Amino acid sequence: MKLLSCLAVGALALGLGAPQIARAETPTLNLFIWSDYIDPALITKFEKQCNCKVVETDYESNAEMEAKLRAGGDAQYDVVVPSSYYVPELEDEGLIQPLDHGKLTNFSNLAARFQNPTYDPGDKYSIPYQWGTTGILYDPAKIKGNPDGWGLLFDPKENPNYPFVIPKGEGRDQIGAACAYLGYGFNCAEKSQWIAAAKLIEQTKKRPNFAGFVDETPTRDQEKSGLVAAGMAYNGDVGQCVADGSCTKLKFYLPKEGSEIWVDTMAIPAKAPHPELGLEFINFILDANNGADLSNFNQYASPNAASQKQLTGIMASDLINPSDAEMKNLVFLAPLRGAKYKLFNQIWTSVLQ
Amino acid sequence: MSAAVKTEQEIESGRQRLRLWVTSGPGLVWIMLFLLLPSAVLLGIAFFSADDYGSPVLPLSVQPFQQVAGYSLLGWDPGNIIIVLRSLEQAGIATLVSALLSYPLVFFILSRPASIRPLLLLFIVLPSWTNQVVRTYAWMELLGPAAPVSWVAHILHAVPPDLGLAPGRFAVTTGLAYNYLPYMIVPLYASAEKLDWTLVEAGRDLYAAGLRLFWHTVFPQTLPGLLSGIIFVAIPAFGDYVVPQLLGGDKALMIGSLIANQFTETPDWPYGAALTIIMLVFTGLGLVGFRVLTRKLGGAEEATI
Repeated sequence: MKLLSCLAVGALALGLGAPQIARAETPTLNLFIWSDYIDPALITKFEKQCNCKVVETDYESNAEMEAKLRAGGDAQYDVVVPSSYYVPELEDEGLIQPLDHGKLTNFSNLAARFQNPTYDPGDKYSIPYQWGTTGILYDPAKIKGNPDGWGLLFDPKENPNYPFVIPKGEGRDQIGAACAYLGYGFNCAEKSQWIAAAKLIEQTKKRPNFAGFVDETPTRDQEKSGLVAAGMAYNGDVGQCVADGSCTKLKFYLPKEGSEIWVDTMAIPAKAPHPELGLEFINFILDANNGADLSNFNQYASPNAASQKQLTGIMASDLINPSDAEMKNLVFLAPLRGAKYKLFNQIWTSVLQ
Repeated sequence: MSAAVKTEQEIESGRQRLRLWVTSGPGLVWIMLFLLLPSAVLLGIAFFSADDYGSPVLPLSVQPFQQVAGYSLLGWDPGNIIIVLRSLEQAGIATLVSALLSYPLVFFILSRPASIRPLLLLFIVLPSWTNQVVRTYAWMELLGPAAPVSWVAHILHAVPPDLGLAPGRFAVTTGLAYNYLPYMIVPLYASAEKLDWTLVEAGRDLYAAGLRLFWHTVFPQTLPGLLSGIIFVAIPAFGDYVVPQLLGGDKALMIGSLIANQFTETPDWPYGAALTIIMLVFTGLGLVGFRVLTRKLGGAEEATI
């Protein structure tokens, strides 16, 4: 199968790939990362340190990143940044390689909470990059009554009139939210619970003020311009627009029934051309100063305990640092492996239809 | 002597053959590399089984095509048929609206002095120089809840007071017709420019007017351009998923997004490949059918692309 997909990409990349191999004299780190997720100044700093060149390529979703890796990208990139629940999948597919912890001298900077996580025991394949939460962002000028749960999206009585959205994506957050609302908990894993959650979303879809499937970051932007009044969002995205003053009128909260805490991680693709540079880069991000610069740039929380003292402005607020009580309600999405993954995808596809 | 002449003819035909290869060669290579080869790979993938993560694996299987027909773990489901019908409807409406908008526009341009016509045509083509996504975002704002157009819709009770025209069916139709309008106008203009007005005069002399005059004199003469326009608009509108996503809120899957999902969010490459092949076959059949129709209607050589 690998052969086939290699053929597909090889055929397309015939003309494009060849010159890249030809000019491999200066070492190059090929970084494959979410868009707007790294401070350009940090890249320049790393280039000086490693005496190499960094080529950054961006993606917009885990699925997009995985598709590229499968189509031969696992031999093109040196560092990728998958979300925690994608790590086991990439591992099962043989798309990422175990990390040499001997080279990661800054590893001890990581907060204890982020070491040895359930999705990747022993940090074998991945190192936390940044973390955040998923909650609800709404416009209090339109929606009254201080909502505090997932009912704002799923209970027609809480918002009968104003347009609201649900993310499209891979369905994990959405089914999780519906499960939490129904009382199964955010990490529901039974087929019957998934189907009940899917049915709830299908009913929600039929409401006249359902404005469609819109992913988290565009949801924030559409709320800023008044197109929608409520939807799911990432706390860091909200932090960015609070910091630049463009969404001070919007409110963000973590639903009381439970919600998601997620970690984006750094991993090295299975056939990375420069794995040693990749390790050097991961270690560079784990440095206390660099970790702080990163978070102060993109307003997402840092898993780096040694960086915390240097975090300023919105980074020190409750929005980015949930309270202990809130933390108890937050769960990591459990990875889905094998046949369960397939079943989940079929259920989610039927919701989208 | 006669043998020598024959050789010269042979040389001449050899030269022609060479010229043919030199001129069409780059195009052929392009099509082979970027159209035929990827399609062949997709055709191959479509006959593999999918592993749990949706990658193609052995053994070979026809299961992807069964999935296209609507069979899955959860039993038979008419979802795919509904998606195809929905995409066909979307393409049909977009084509009809752009054709209806194009006729008056084309004749308006033709009624202007010849010197400014190219400029007017340029104005129509100009917006398509910017990215489709950017223009579609602009429509989102234009048709949003706070936009004046939506206020009018509120007054007419077409939309509930706190909602906008976007997202919705009206917005999708508007966005598609707007995006593909130039592809209808340009071929139609090319036909209408050559219109034989004496036939229209003759129709008038026979006391035809209005719609009847148009139907018997103008319409048959512009048919070749209209048919080309229909092909240029209907085929991309059938597979479009940017407009339904941004202006329709993705409330209903289109064939384009169904295929895209199989390679990304809910991966199943063999199924996605099978869907693509089926879509290509249908598009191909549609084109052939259209060509036959065009021939039957006669004299419409321009429409056979």
